[in-house]
Amino acid sequence: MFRSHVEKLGGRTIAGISRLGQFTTFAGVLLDCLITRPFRGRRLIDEVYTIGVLSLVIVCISGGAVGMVLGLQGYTVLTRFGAEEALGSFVGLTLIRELGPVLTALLVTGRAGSAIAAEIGAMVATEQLDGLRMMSIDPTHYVAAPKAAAMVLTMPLLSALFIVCGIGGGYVVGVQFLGIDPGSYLKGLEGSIKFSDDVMGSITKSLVFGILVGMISTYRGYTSAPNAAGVSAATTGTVVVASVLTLIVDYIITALWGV
Amino acid sequence: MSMTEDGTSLRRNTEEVPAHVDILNLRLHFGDRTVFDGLSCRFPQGKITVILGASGGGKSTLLRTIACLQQPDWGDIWVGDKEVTSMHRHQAQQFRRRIGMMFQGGALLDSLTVYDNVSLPLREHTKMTEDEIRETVQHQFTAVGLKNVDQLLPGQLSGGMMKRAALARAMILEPEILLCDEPFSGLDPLAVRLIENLIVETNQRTGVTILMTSHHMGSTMRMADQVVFLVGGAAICGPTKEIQTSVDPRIRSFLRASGADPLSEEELYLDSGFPRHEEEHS
Amino acid sequence: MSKSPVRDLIVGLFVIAGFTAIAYLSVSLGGLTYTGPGGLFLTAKFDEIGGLAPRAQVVVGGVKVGQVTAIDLDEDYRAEVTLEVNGNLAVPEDSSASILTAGVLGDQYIALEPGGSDAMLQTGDEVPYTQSAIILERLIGKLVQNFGGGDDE
Repeated sequence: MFRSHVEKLGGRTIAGISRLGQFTTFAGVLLDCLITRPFRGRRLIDEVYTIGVLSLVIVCISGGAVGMVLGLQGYTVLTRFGAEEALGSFVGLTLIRELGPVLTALLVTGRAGSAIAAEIGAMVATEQLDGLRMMSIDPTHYVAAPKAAAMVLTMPLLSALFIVCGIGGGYVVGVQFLGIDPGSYLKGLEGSIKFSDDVMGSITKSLVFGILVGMISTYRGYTSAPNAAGVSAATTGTVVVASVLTLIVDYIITALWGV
Repeated sequence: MSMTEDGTSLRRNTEEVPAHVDILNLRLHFGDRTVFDGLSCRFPQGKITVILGASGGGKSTLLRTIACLQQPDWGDIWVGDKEVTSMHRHQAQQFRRRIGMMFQGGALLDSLTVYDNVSLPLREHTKMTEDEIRETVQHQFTAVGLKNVDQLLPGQLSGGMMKRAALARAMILEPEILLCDEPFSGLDPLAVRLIENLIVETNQRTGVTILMTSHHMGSTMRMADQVVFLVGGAAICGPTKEIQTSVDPRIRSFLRASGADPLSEEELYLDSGFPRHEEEHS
Repeated sequence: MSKSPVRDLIVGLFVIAGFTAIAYLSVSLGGLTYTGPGGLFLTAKFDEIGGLAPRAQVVVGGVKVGQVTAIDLDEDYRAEVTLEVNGNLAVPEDSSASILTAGVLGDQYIALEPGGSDAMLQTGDEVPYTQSAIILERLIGKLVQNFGGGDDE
């Protein structure tokens, strides 16, 4: 009884380590593909379109909504201390340092990461990747690398747009609805946000999340079983693993570098 | 090599033409399941060889192994003077340029139009200008009998057109070997005949060595120069006529079940209760 | 493979919008300034800098002209503040620098008071006259001392 449990644990450990090794190999091949010619500009543009442009609407709407909530909540808390003018810096700092990069990463995982895993998984199931191999085209180079690269490139852009929409949302609630002086809202933003800490930290976070989501989604699609269940497992796996890892890595970055 | 008495004579026949693909003692396991157990066979140059066998008998796996998409546990595969199984990623990629593969479901990229799919290998591997590419692709489309499909997506094609497009893409780089995985699956009898003629015509026009898997007996008998019969992880090969009249019980039972056994035609005719198609005899 | 101009345009607009957003956050809110390669670096020594911090503003007559880039302690235990001001701004040799506070409890900044000399400061030069930060607590402390026990002096 006890022995079977130990055996099971051992089996799981070995399987986990071999998956980790497989993932590392995949990441290595992916990196290799990013620097090997030909450079697939057209594929990259197409992927920036599907990942970036098609996620734009949900990112902006969510950003605006989050900014408005922050405006309301912040106002309620700050009026207790008579510090309504600090609303600008409250909304701005919260969005730039945490909510912008993290929520964007979660939204993009759900919107585009799952789509990447599903698309590559379906290509595995319909032998399209083998089809590419038979044309002497490396499917990692043709399919996965442009997707991962586009993910890394678009994540900071989407995150910045999320933050700007959020600041706009906070402005609408704070200034238009709650009657805070527009000058003090903007002054609070400008006074509290530092480029080298806050903005750079924000961009760094979203780049790291972009790498994370890009690699996990392409890897899960690539290694999915060639059937419908495999595609669905790859999609779910991507969303779960990428979301949880995003939150954990966010904590690690914040704890280590204080951004 | 598992050879029956008439197998030895078959072997002499196939050796009249030099082998293009030579498989030696191939072994492959998927978990507990043995797919190939010391399989050896040879595919003559410029001929059409049909690989027959039960479903799950490793027909597609054999093609994938030859194409270097599947690593065997043991054994050698010689294509011309190159050994395939020991190749690395980049070597294999280079090697596959000599091979065209027509996949069962077409395997066209569904985000690209048919034209872009067929022109993709040219864009990747040649320095052709846009005009030359257009001309080559149109020529290929004419050869496989495709018209007005340039801007369609693969999802908009019928089964027969999909097979033609897949064939066009497989042949666009003028490979020396063409692998066809179940080219007749999902087609109506008329479309089967058309694709059949197309493959034979491609073979005669370009002299490409064709290896195809099928369980469509009628067309196998009509088009194959040689038949490779996969049974129990090994192969029995020989010219079509001799396989047809083979006395090996495993082959007999397969042929009888497929309704293509010339020795028991009468029986089958009576059993089925359907008048047989004229074309099945031709 | 086939080019679709509309899609390319949309992607281009998206990338521009994204970078504009990053630029807005960095420059307009984050206070990232580009003073050009000819940015003028000056030092100024203070006995007391109070709550002055790097990236604090440097103003002339209330107009922002640069920022504090570094704060160090020199061998005489005085605070050495490095300022970066716009390269095209000429600062006369006899200018003075003061640490002031915005409002009663606001951020501290450095106000440059241009002198009347014709010779201008170059990069690396020191602003000769400085006025240290006024520490509110000490002022209050002094005030209390003066009122309470004048027997100290």
